[in-house]
Amino acid sequence: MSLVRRGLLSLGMLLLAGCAHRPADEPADPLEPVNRAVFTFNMKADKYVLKPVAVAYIDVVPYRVRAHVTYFFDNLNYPKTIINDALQAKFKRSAADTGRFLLNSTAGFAGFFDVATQAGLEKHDEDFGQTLGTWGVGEGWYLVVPLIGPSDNRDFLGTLAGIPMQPLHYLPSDYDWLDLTLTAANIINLRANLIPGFDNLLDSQFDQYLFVRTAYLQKRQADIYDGNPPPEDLGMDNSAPDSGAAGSEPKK
Amino acid sequence: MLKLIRSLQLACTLFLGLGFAASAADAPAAGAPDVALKNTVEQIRGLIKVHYAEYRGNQDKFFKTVDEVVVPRFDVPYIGQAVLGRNVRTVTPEQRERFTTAFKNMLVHSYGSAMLDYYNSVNINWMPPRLLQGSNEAMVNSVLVRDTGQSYPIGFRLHQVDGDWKIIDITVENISLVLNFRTQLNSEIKRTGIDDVIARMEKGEFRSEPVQQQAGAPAPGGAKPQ
Repeated sequence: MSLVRRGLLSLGMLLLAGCAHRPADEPADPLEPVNRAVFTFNMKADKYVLKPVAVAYIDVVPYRVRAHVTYFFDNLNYPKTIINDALQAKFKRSAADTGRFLLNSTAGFAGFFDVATQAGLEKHDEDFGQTLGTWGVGEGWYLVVPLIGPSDNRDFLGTLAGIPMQPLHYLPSDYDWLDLTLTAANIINLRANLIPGFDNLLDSQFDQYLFVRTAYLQKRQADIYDGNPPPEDLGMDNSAPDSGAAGSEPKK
Repeated sequence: MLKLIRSLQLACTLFLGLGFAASAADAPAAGAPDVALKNTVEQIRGLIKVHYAEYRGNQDKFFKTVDEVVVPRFDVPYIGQAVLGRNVRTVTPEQRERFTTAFKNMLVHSYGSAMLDYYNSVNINWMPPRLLQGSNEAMVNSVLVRDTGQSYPIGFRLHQVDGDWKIIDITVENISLVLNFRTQLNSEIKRTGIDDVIARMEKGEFRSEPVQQQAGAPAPGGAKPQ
């Protein structure tokens, strides 16, 4: 790695580290007008391109088969989890996740069957954005990335750093078609997994942009704490307008 | 985004159902935070099982049951204030009460019928309750497992009121109901004012109709995805 790149990286880390976590209902979103425009664009792209493809996929491929497709892609991207376990100093878990990956890749027929879970090896989900979070990096600004979706400064950097953690990245260039095909299939399968539940939920929100923003930031915060985040401040402890706030009945 | 938020709507409907259910039983005073929760989940599921056809045919009656049996066990005023957030300083007590009632009714209606759809297609695995340090709060986490194998983490956040554990927030996939509504409603309040938002809530404008339609219909990919 060149000195310049290393310098830039550490500079970026410094900038990010300055931002502590903010409550999900009032995040730093200075780009909101731009983000909203991109969000609208993404929703249109989904409506006219991705969703129709995903719906067709659901029509053609039965649920039980799609479940195995999900297992396959989860396994294919599992090295990312193993690496980030280690970066977060969860070494035992990293070893167990290595075992999980090897078991599913072999006995699980290249990952199409999740035999590791049956063998008691729990699935985990780590990525470099979460690793940065455990290192104390705040989320920074909320971002909506064209064609990708919600992100933030920390996770955007994490996504970029995560690219070389994916096995497909190391396919020789003769196999670019395979990389593209698998990536596309993964995206379609992920999208299909959100139908109908997430689509219905999103439709029922009166400000979809704010819903996705709040949900995304909370979800990421929880991921960093492996599902047990410290509870968000509901703003009721000291800022309550009257002494009845903590009681069951509002004081008149 | 795709990967991050999976089938939340189903989970929402389920957890709300359970949440309301959870507060139905007469809790032993200041017992463990999860005792009443578990009992009442079983209780409401039992009620639905027995009265399924009746509730299905007369949803208003079902909403009334939810209202009477379940809602009183939530700390509704607390939730109303938490959702109002900093707006609570600028509204009158009367506005706050109307807001809270409208909000509660919106939830009961939005998610009530969906509870009916999913009551028998899920199992609940409970985790041990955790007391939150430095407060009188506790978290009770659970995992809902659908008969299709998908699972959803559901969390209940409770605090003690006069020796009773009452629910103050519910999380689905770690997404807080209170924070979600606070974000969206506060943005609307800023835009059009508290009275307008209350009036629109009372008219059912923020009610999640798509959820209701989807859940109320016989089975359009609802309970069983294939």
